[in-house]
Amino acid sequence: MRDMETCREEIFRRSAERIRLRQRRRRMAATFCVPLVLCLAVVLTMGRNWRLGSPAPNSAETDVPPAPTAQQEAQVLVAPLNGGESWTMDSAAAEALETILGGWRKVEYGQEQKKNEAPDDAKDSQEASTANEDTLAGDPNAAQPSIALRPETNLAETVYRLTLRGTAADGDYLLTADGLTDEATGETIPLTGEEAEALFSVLSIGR
Amino acid sequence: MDNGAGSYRRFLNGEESAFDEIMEESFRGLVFFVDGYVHDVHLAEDIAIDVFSDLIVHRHRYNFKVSLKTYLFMLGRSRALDALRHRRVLTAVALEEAAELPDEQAALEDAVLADERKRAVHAALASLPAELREAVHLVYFEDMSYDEAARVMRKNRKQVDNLLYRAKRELRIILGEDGERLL
Repeated sequence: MRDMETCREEIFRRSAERIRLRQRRRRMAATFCVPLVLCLAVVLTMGRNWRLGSPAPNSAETDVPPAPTAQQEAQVLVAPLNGGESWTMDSAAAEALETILGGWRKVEYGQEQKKNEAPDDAKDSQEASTANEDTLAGDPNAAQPSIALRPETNLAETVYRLTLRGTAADGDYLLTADGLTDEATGETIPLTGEEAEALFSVLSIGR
Repeated sequence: MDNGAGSYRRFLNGEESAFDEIMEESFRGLVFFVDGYVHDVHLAEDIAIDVFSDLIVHRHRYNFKVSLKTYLFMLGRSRALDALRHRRVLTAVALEEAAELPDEQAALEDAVLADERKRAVHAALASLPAELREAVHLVYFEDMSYDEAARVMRKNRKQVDNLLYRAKRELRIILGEDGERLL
């Protein structure tokens, strides 16, 4: 049997050894296991993204505004700023307006085509397709700021606020005979005479 | 009397001599207690050294809710049972070592059982079942309360009470009239 002093030394010797062993295990974990786990996590994430076919987080497609939810029906509120009575139009009108806005934005970003660039939602509806054709029938490159309006409606004097909801181009816009102004950014889409007429028709303005 | 908790607190605060106080108070008793399981003084000492080493390596495992002595004995018992499980196949002991063991055992008994009365009780304990022996050892030799002994043995207070009652009855039979006086 060992005396107390020997036992005490043995206790401290074993403790130091166990502490050293524990530190070595921690270092091993930090050197090998943590990077390995991180690599596995990255590989798994990439694999999942690839399987789902989802775009990478830094892809340019992420700049596209999110599509409207299925539950929210597209609609547009038309309110004359001269104090007249406002009214709400159904999804066909909202989608026609969205098509104009979407086409205009894509032209602004340097794309050549204005037509046939409507968001998917607009393509779903037969009425919207018809409206698109009516609205965008004119030559987009020949935009004329001044249009000849039907004199009996005298629309040129009235400004309408259009509140668009349930579409990818949600927001408030001011509609005049000359163009459509985004209230948030202040940018204006010039409208040709035909476009303006078609839009007024879709929005039931002047009827 | 905090059974070492205060000393351990001082040790954690950097006072290394406090560890000697803990050893002085509990080490031999722990070796003796573990030896009751493993029946090998050297192994018991080895286990006790490991238990005390735990106090240094895992400094925040002891939560000060029980006395340090109880905690050490709990660890000791657990390690002793582990050692018994691992040692089952290695029961053969070299003859030379076997010859040395009784002397070692006597030395340990001398160190722990200082007074004659305790020695007589301990000799009588050898014929008792292990559980009774363990309960008597903790309460009678280590001065633990019933609750502390129950914690070490992983039993409840009532069970320890029953074990001690039975142990005393047995010891009275073994020790006769003298035993009555000793207990």
